Amino acid sequence: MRRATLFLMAVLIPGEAAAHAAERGLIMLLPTGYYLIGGAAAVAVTFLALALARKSWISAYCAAEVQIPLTVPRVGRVVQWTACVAFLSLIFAGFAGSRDPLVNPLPLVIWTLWWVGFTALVAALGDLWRWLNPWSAPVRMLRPIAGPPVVLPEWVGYWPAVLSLLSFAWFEIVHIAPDDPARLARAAAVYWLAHLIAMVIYGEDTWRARGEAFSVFFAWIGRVGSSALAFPGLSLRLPGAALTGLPQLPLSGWLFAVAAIATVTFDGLSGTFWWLGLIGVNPLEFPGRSAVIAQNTIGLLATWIAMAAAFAGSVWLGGRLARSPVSPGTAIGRLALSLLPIALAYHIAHYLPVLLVNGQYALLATTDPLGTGADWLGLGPWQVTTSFLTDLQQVETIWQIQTGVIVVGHLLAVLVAHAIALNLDPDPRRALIAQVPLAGLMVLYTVLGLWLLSTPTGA
Amino acid sequence: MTKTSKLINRRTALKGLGTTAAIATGAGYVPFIQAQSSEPIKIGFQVHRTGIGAAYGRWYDRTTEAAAKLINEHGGINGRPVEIVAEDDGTDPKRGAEVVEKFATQHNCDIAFGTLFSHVVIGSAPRAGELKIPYFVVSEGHHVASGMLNRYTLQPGITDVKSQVESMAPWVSQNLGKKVTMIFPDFAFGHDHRDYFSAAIAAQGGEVIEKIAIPPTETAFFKYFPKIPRETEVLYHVMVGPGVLTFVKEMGEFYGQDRPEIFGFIDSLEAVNMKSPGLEFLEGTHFWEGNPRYARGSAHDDFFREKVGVDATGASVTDAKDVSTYAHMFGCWETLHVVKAGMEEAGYAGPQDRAKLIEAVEAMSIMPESQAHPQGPKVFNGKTHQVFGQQHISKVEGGAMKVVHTTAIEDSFYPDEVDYTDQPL
Repeated sequence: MRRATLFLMAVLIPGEAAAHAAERGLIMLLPTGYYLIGGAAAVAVTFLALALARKSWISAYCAAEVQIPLTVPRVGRVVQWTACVAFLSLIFAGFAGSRDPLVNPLPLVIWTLWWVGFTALVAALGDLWRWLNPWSAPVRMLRPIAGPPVVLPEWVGYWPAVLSLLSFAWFEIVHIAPDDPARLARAAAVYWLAHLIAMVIYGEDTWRARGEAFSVFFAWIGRVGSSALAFPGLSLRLPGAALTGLPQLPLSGWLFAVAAIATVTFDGLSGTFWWLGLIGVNPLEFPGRSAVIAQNTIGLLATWIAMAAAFAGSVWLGGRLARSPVSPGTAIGRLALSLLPIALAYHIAHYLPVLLVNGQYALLATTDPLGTGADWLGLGPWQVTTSFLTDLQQVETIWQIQTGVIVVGHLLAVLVAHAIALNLDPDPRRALIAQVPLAGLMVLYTVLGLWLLSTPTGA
Repeated sequence: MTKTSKLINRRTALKGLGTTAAIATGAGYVPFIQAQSSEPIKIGFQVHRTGIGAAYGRWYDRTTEAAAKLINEHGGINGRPVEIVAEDDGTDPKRGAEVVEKFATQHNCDIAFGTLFSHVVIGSAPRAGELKIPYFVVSEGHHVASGMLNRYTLQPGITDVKSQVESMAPWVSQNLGKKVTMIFPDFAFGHDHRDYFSAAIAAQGGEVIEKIAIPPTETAFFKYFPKIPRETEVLYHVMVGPGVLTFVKEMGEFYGQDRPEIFGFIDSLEAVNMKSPGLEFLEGTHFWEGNPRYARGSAHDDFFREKVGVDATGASVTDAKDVSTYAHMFGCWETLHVVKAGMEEAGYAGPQDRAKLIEAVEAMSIMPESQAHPQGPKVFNGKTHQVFGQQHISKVEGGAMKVVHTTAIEDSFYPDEVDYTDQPL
């Protein structure tokens, strides 16, 4: 009772000014409306331009490939064991190291270096997770003990990966303290152990293909860019081309692709004045995550469902308009892969400020990992700065980079969708009409993505 | 898990290194020899590392580390080194209460310290009271002196918003004008300003002739400016949040050259470069500042700047564009020095002496300006657990801020609303 009274008083009697005037305040001074219109126009014009392109050009784009044979020493196992030991060391650091999430290496590595930086690296170089995941090494060791793998039923589909990704996103976006080193260590250890057991039971390749969220995510993200590190060779393709040849995804598979966009979208949305107004929270006096757990849990799931409905609905509508012979299930299951460039672009743009700020803390933790005052990287005296978020010129530069990334991501998505649609339907005219609603959705999402990055936030 | 406090963390290690360095140079070093125990005094630092308070938290952290380093260079507290144990509260009250509990039960901290945001203070203080761990907050909120918290919660290093607002009224009415229009965000923060200032200006023979409440979600302000009465002599604004810069820009476009006097609270623009585009309109206007951002020729303040790594414009010495939360962060520095003085007065030897520490701080009164109190002299009220001090009014000149008035401490006094010493320890 006393607590309840105190809480009520807390709501009624605040002290200092809560919200901070930086970054978004400066972005609000920029003519972001023009960027939104320009971005949307660029995506729309690209779609129209593709309509004029010959089918053979698109096929050539998708087929172009340069294979570079590389003679790499057999370091695979060493790399995999190193990745595993590094992961377990980080878990140990989470439990035993500093309690400060900006000093402890675990939260810095997971939320900044890995989830943001590594994702960008995978987009640039290909699916590095295949080599650097913490499971391959121990699974290989444990497999012989476990006997032959159990066959994973088809109906399981990608559902374990979907559940894993949604749980991860919930922990990141909704949980009260995802940066707390010990909690994060516990969560990461549970995740690792659960998937280790599953990989031992069902076989690593099977489980990583549709059970473990990041294996699925990085395998797809690795196909958005131009290169794929497929040791012992390096395969270079044109951006997005490697997505066009993938087989049709089942329901759970395309829902995973949608979740990859929806979770990051909701991360952006949940801080906006618009969302806070919707859930009845004063955006200038955000009460803390603990006060909005139910609302944000619902919001996260609702965003996912709404985006899935919008995507599937637009593909279905396109099929109807074009009187396409392709079944909606096939079209949805193939075209879902065209969402990945958008997922990647929004991921990079959304997390860019985090990378710039917390990346500095990560550098400090790297240069002095044991807290001995060492300076392995030779940084010299370094104080973390955030001035690039409070200086109009630099904020504008960051905003322009974000806009560029978002627009390029959508252009690529339109291109990939076009290539897949031409694959699906031999009649180019029908294939084009069938894409119109999806292209419209991508134009809308360009606007939404840019709006999310520029609208005022309070949480 | 429960042993984490025993393991080395980066801060502890750095502190150890600092100690070694001090021995090596011999500069100002007093060895920790007079103490019976050389176990560190553990100060649980409840810091806003994530969540909406993170920008403030970063500077609170820098200030706290600098103060702890200085205290250790001068022999620590009662001959024992100080160790800062930082835990992120996520700027969340529930998490805040958890963190206070961890300080008391897992990390074996002697005290909890350092919280800024009021809702976190108010969410955490009951737990501190139950666990009987002294909780030194640096929040500016009136919640301590209002009597809503408990005997274990103290605010000896920063003044509260009620005293700040009320102490502005005499100077504003004598120098800027008596007819005031207030523009404030329409929630409790803005209402506090409205109520405290309306009463204080009335006591000076002035009057708030119009109160314009702006909805918190508002992002365009043109439609509100025509509501400002023509006879307004002073416009008092306390807008906060991402819309502030737009507010100032639009106010400038509305008025052009011909405007009333304008008075605001630096909270609106804390950590924002005054030379930011759109802020030109603020030239010649006045602001309350807790601790003035631009150097004012005070040796103690200069010393504080140097130790924290802040230049004469209030920015980081390593990045001239990285403006600090200068008006507030001195509170961490001063609070740690009060803790040191209190522990020394109480002969504090460990958690069994926590009650003695509370009593020792309650017995404090006058705190002269010094290296320990660089913002200025203070008077602590042991009954209300709140410190009172001088406030500053600065004028924006050439994109910088220049102090034009410093209030007397007495200007900020108001009648006691609680006597915490009546509560059992």
